[in-house]
Amino acid sequence: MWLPAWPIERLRRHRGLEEVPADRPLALVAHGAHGLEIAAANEAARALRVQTGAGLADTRAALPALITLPAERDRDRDDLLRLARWCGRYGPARHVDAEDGLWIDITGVGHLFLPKLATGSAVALPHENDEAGERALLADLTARFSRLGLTARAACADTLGAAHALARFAAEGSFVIAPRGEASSVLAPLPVAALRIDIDAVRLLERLGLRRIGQLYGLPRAALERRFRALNRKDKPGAETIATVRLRLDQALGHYGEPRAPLVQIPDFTARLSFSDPLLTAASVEAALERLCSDLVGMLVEAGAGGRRFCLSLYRSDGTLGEVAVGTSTPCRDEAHIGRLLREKIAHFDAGFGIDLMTLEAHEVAPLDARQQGLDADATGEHARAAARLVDRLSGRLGTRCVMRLLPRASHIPEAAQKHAPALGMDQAKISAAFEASLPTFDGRRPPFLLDPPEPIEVLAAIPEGAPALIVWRRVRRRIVRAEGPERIAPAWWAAYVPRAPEACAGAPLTRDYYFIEEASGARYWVFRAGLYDKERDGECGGDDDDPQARTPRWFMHGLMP
Amino acid sequence: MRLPGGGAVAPFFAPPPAPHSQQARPRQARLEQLRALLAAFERRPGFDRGPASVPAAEPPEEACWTLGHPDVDGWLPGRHLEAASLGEIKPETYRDLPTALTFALLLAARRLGMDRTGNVARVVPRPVSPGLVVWCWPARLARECGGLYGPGLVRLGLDPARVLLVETATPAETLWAMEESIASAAAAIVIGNLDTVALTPARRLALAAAAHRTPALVVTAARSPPMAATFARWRIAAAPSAQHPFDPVAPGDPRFTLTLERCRGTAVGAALQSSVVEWSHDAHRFRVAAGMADRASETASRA
Repeated sequence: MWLPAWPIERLRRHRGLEEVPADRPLALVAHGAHGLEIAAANEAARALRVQTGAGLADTRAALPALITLPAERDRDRDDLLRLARWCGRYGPARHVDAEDGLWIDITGVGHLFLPKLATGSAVALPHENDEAGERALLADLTARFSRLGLTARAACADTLGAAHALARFAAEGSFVIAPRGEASSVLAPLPVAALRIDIDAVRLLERLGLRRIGQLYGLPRAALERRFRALNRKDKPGAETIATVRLRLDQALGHYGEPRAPLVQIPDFTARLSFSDPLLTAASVEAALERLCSDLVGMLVEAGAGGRRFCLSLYRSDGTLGEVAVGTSTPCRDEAHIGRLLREKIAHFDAGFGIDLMTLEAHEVAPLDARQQGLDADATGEHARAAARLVDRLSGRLGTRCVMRLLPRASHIPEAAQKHAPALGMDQAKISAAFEASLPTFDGRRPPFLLDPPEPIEVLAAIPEGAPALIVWRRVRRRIVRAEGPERIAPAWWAAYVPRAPEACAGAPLTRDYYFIEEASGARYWVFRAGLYDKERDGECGGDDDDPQARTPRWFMHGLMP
Repeated sequence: MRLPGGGAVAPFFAPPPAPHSQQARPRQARLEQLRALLAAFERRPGFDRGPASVPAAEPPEEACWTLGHPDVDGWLPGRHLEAASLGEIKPETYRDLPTALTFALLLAARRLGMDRTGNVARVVPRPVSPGLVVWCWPARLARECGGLYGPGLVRLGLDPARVLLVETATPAETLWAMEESIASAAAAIVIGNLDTVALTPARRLALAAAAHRTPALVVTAARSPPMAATFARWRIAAAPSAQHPFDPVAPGDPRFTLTLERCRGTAVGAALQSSVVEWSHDAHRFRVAAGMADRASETASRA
């Protein structure tokens, strides 16, 4: 699909017809290699011979009445991407194609756009059905685009290269469909610029007298290379250019595959529901959601699988798209559960001018036996399922990073002995097994609340290994009446042999002496001193002895004890 | 009405006869009977849930959610904590907030009834209640008091494999998360932290807890007004710890000044039950520290 006047029309959609007129000459200017250049011109300007790429000064000298506006290339790209997302109603694999085009893979989608016959008596061949469907799809697509105020030319062919060429150079009227398998005959009369090659290659080919694609068929490769070398003795682009030209030709004809990444991940199962009257109310959206859930769950049941991520896309009639995604811990095909998770998220969804298509996709599909669903009635199974559902609901509303489980890590450094993991995707058995397999906890004093990072405090303590007698934490002086310690936690000895990341704090990791101290009022803290008075210094590797700050070990507050 | 010259005449409308002491006794006895009946009703676990779902006998695990010491348990009606209820824990001052959170963790440890090695609680063997400990708190508290730390939880007697941490951004989200956790059958106890809870959300939580038989504890701010619809309201402050058995300078077992300000089933306006309790890390239960009097009698003697 090609949108020839995309920058100007996007600006017109954004700003309105008064600012971006169609009858008076208008051009968009951007910074080019030699100063301000014309980036795009509307039809009136083109009729007056304004060319893209010309300098602004020259053009304005020739045409003083030209209206100019700055070109916004980033916004053009973003809006084109948004439009590509909205084109997901025509097929899941789609993306932008160059600066002003889109491609959509409509394999197998055509039949959805056939007008439904009231009496389904005639049985047509699937071949004809597809062609009629494609025609209907392209008609619908170009009609919608014209309703959105965009001129568009669409082409449908077997390969992306052929479709690109046809859309830009061959479409008279709004769309053209190349019949199956006849790409070579359809492409033959087009100019060589229609293959996606750069301007230098096009000029080279023209100098060789190859103006049409049809002339390239069957040309032996060695002959072309010889001719190129004869032409350019000074600069030798020859071999790569030939290779590129051949590659593009083969891709256009379908002899060579062209891997292309779609914009979003292709789902495994999709349920789709389109409406003749756009939906405006939340109640109707919820009713449609119920129907979609039951359709999708039916598909999953047939395949014996469950999905872990479900995406609901709501296509509005003004060319925008709303998407809602939910995830579950375990593969799920429980209609009520999925419906409830999605309903919470679309509670405040803005329907805009109306929703005329809704699709529900299932991603990360994994096999799910019917047996796992609920025939075992024991308590632990029930509990696990209830826990998974609770985690799904909490994660769906609060976010996956806000619902966490604790997991052990094998480390003797206190803050490294545990890690948080999102609860979505964990089940109790896994966690219990992790705790069983972890190192047995030394039954020393550990606080239930650990500050991260440890907060620096000021301490009055006897050197070298005395417990604190007075601390200042969060600007409050606290007199210490009881203390226990020190518990010495040495740094990992292997850290000296492992290259440190440059952003790690300077100096070797320090030995920590932990003290469990109690204030007069009864509050109890877990503090530590980083570094030893006689042996270790902060920043010892550098060895700057004249910096007094580097010498003193520092004290930190690490946790609050009961 | 007095006539001149002394002598009284009975007024035209005779006043009702004064309550005779003979008539007082049956009335008082009747009042006492009614009071005892009401107390018995309130103590029964099915009181809040309506007539249809009153269980015939208490399941054994409910009777065993106690604080571990008969004196402290004696404050509670039925000598155990009500499992299908909402409890509120208030710190005495702002600085006692970590103590209040720790008390909630200790109650959760008592509720789960299991320590890390899988042994059932030492005092009374009881079935382990399955389920998660759901801990909902705003993210800013993690920066203030520190995040939950697994090895520390193990030392308190709580299995960190059973903890689900939920960080919320607003109080409304915390309330929603608590209600969802109670409503699912997956939680053994739900603990939340909120500054203050209005009447309607408190009532909703209480009803949900009663309906799904899952205890809920809310740790509120020290200065906020008391929460409605709770079964029990505790107030806690840190107290100087006990003597360490071997080292005179080291802190021993932690002690708290614990006050039960309100409990459904005890008479309104009764003396506040307050004591200095000590948590024993080895036995994983509370003990009453020696030599602490009832706070109400202290204030009475002062006044």
